[in-house]
Amino acid sequence: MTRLALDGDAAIAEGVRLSRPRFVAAYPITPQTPIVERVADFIAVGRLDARYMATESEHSALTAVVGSAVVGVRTFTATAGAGLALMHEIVGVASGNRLPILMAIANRALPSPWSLQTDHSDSMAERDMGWIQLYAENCQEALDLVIVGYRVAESVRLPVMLCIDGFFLSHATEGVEVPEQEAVDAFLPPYVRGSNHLDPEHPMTLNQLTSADMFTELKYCHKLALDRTIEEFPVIGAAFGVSFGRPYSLVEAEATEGADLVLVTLGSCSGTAKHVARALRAQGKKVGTLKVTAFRPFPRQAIRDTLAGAKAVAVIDRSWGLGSDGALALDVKAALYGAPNIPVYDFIAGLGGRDLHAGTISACVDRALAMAADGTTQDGPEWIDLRKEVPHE
Amino acid sequence: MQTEIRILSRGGQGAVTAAKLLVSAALSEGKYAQMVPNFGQERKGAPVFTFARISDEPVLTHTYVYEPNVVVLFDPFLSDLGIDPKENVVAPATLVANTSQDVEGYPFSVSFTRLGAIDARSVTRETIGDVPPNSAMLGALAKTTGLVRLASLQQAIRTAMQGPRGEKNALCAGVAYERTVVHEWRR
Amino acid sequence: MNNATSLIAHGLTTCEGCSMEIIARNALDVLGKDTIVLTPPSCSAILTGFGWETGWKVPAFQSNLENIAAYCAGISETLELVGRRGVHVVAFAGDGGTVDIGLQALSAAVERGHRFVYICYDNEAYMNTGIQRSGGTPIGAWTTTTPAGKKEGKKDIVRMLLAQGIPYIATASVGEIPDFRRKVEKASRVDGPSYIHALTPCSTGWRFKPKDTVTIARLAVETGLWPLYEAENGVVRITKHIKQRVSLAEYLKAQGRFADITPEQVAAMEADIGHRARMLELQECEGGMCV
Repeated sequence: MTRLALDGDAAIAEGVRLSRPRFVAAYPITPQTPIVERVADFIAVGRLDARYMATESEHSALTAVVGSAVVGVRTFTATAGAGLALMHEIVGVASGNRLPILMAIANRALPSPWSLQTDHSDSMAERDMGWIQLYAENCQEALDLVIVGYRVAESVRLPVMLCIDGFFLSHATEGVEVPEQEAVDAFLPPYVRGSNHLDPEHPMTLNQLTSADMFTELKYCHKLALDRTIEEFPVIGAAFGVSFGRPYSLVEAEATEGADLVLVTLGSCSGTAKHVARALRAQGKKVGTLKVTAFRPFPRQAIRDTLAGAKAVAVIDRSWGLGSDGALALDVKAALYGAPNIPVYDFIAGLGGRDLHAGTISACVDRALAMAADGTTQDGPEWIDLRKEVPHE
Repeated sequence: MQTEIRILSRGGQGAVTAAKLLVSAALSEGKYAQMVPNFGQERKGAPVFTFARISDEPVLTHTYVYEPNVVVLFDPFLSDLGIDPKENVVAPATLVANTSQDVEGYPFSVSFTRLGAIDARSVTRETIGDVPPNSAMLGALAKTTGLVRLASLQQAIRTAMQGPRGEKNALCAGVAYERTVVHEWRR
Repeated sequence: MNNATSLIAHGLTTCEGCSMEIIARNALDVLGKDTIVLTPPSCSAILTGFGWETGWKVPAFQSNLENIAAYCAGISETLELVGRRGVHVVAFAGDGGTVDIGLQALSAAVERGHRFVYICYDNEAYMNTGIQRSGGTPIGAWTTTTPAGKKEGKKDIVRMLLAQGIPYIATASVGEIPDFRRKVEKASRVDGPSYIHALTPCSTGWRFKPKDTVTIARLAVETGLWPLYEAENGVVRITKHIKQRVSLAEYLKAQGRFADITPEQVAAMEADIGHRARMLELQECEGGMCV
């Protein structure tokens, strides 16, 4: 295995190259663009045997990928922010047709106001669309989860959205172990087309209008595939660990048992949270971490089991949660419903590229421990890294 | 031991490329390393902040650097824009500065215990031509901090830039390494 | 064409006198079974069926309204990848899905040059949702969203695509089936995008008796309102010369939708007919270069 200096975008492109998709369609948008530039390069120089379609919009990119997948090859696309929002209608088509497409998202805040920078508002807006949604903590995970993602996708016949934080991962360079092609080929079997495909030898009509008699049942099948993902993902993630030394699971817990506080996170801030929690534990404070790798399907049971031994929970949401709680906190609270009374505190932070640094995470810990100590409950999420000196009216 | 590095530069000076090369060099020595850029509206001449970490352990944080051990100053005139190279530095801090000034008279010496001074512009002109001073700054960084070996840097440069361009940049880093004047204050 | 060999099932639930269905049947009859067909949510989706039923005996996919050409692009390129280049990919979309919401995807797919046949059946309004104005609705026509008649003229998508340099493009009419079939045949042999725009009068939306579908379609051609022509690699050829144009009034009075058209609107339509005829003749004798 070679350890290369790669940024998150490049790491994803390497994962794509190793996974051998045959068809790629994409449209440029910051901070996703370097992914597809690198994939286009691989195709141009013959390192990836695939066709690259530079479409006129993200909407058409995902559409073309759906068209390709329904003929029956492995496909890839990538986007970010407003590009994902433009795709929204087709996001449902891809999952509803049970097409194992892999789409990388370099998370970028949705407008408005405009931002080039990261938060999870783009992918959170798609969270109920029936895709598997994975969040990488670092550039190594970005690469690995492409390969794991394809195998999971093709096993349960569902598309995967692989999210990396814009800039903090997409443009951050780290050492990344790039697996050998032979090892990836041994792990990820050649693509097998689904029973739903377009082929004049077996004519069938796909995706047509459905009555109320069948819509519910078809959606229920879709739900069952997501349920199955909860079982399949850890098995495939463990198999990846056997082959490559880096196992993956739905969630990753550290020092959660008996913790006074567990930090629950998504994406690149998960590492920062671990760093903060380890430092606090070194000072004798019992703070654990729980990283959610698979946000969809939401690993309800794993989260319930992990948090059962904790005294309090602080969720860090890197999305707006406007009108309610942050998206992650909502689900964590729902997972804990009926469990022994564990207070869950929600912190909105790191929006529109604001650095979700160790200081912010420490502030979450301090606030949550203080509230837990005096039994205070939260009435909605706390915007922990708000600049107090700026007028808010 | 994790070293936190803040690079202060202007758009077009190649600081992001330099930080990537630094990461490559550190990786080749079996260390862990990371570069996190801070992109704004891309414009030549605008201040650019780039962050790097070099460590013996895996780097967990994916954030900017707030309390640097090392500051790399590509342009001393950035202070005219209110950018303070000594902001929140952690003692014993090191400054690597692109300057033609005499080290003793360097204005930031109070906050740093070590200063590496290099006239990166001149070295770059001599060895390559009218191009960004990033290879020279890397040479100066290696000399001043010892975080990476010059040979690793030169290899990283040659790998990233094939052919004569790589050779010239590697030479530039080497000449800068030799010419960097390192000064230490004891207090 | 007989029902036994037809690639579209009989007994579909299209309206009585539907010309879209006639166009679809003939297109499939020419293209044959090695065809993948796409329909957007529109009248042609009736052919794609509902629930357990489908009208197509060839593979079919229901697209979204705005992106049928992008689906065709992905399907066509992938067929080529898997060695199935001989399979025709056909989009069968209405005027709204083509000239309005589908224009971006269509224009881009044509620009990229994928091999697919795009057939627009033009019934001059959003008929499937119940007769709403589209960019293809002519001036003076009543629709439910232009209760006093449309103020603006019809968008000429054929000229737009011709200007883009599409390898093959043609107009067609449900009143001229042999001409349509010949054009489909030609389109199917193009190594790149091809486009056929067929005027398909709609009894329900245009307010005429179902039995008059073909008559109305022929009148559109004979009045000069719907000239029949094709262009191969930009070379324009008029495929039906109209020596003596039938009066436009005859076409307008046959349809309830033009009941309230104003004399100014009729004059504008007539001016447009004259202008278009002159331009086409000029293009034809100039060797077909698009002006």
